[in-house]
Amino acid sequence: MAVPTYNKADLRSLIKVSALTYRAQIKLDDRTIDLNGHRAEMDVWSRYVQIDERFFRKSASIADAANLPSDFGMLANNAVDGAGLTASYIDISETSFRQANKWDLASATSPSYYISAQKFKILPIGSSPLTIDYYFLPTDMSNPASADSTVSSMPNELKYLVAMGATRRCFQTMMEQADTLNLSIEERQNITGAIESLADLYNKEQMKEAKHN
Amino acid sequence: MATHGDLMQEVQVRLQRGVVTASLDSDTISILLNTAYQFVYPYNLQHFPWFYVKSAAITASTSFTLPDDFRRIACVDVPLATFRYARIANHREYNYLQNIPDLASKTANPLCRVDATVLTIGTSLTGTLFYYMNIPDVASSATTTNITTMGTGNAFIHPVFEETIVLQAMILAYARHMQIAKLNQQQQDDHLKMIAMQKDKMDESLKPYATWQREIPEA
Repeated sequence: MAVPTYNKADLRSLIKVSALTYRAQIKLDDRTIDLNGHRAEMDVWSRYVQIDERFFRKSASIADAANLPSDFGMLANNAVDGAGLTASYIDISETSFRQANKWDLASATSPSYYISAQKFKILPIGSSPLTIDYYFLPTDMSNPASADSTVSSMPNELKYLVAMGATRRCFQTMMEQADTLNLSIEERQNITGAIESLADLYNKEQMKEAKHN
Repeated sequence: MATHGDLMQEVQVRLQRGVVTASLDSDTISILLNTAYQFVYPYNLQHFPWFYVKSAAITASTSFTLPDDFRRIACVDVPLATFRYARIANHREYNYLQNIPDLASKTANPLCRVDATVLTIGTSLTGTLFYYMNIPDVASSATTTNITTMGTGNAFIHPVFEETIVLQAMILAYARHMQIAKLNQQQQDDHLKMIAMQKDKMDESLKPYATWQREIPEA
């Protein structure tokens, strides 16, 4: 199943349209809007990885001491596999460290692994590459070098939630820069109200999704 | 996905466009950012401990000097030991073992203890110390130092904390500016109000991370 996505220009337009709902205009440059869009995506990512992780699950074959993939967000649980190996593999990076003296972890057919400073390490050293499952991060659309047509790695069904969070962030940035932007008293009042309203709406949407899942 | 230089630039730009035109030199911004890194470090360590796992070789030693960036121990891998790993006497899971004479340190079943600056080992062993590292200070000139870009092997902090870092540095910058500018109370309140609101929202958005902590099985 292909997951529908949206692009950088779509999200920016949506943020600007959302702002008009609150009788306020986004008075920020595109780079700042994109940055807020990206940070909003990161917020949504960190929640959805727990609520509906399937969107963000991905696999990669990793050799010993290799860097993790550049879109690596976090390792999925029990998510290491490899051909020709007979037993399950033991992650010694977190809880297993604490139980380490319970097992003999050195075995060619049942290698242990851990992640050290974002490099994947397999014990015993020299084992064949293992396949890891991980949760990938959204594409960084705040990068000025990326074109407006750059497709986000976030699924379409999260687009409006991202836009809502991004609009709130843009409003917060505008209030942070209110004097420099010469915002009128009325605009400041509208924006302050909009921030509260969006925060409330955003939390309700989150709860709805959590119940649904 | 930022370098130290990217974050310095973002803080500078946001300060200049902010409620106070607090233009700071790069050394000062770098110090503020380093403070912010240290502020975020415990959260990152809790939620993404694998950022900080490092190893150091121990060769035929009974007293091993801990590395300079040592924060806390993870485990000691001893290939020749029966159970592969050494027991750590003052590790929280093993506190109760210290007074049991049957568990005296042997080659096949070594016992270690973390002291202030050394790892004291009951019987000489060769192996690997796994530990969690501290974040080092990043110099202002080290603008290309990777802070949050994943997959390059040396990022210090997960990208979900980027906004928190920037806001924390800005709060420190405003506080510093107010002390130097000798503003009145009303001006100080105005300056801090909006930035504090941003920070509160960020704190709210950090709450879900608590659910990422795995249950630790009973030993």
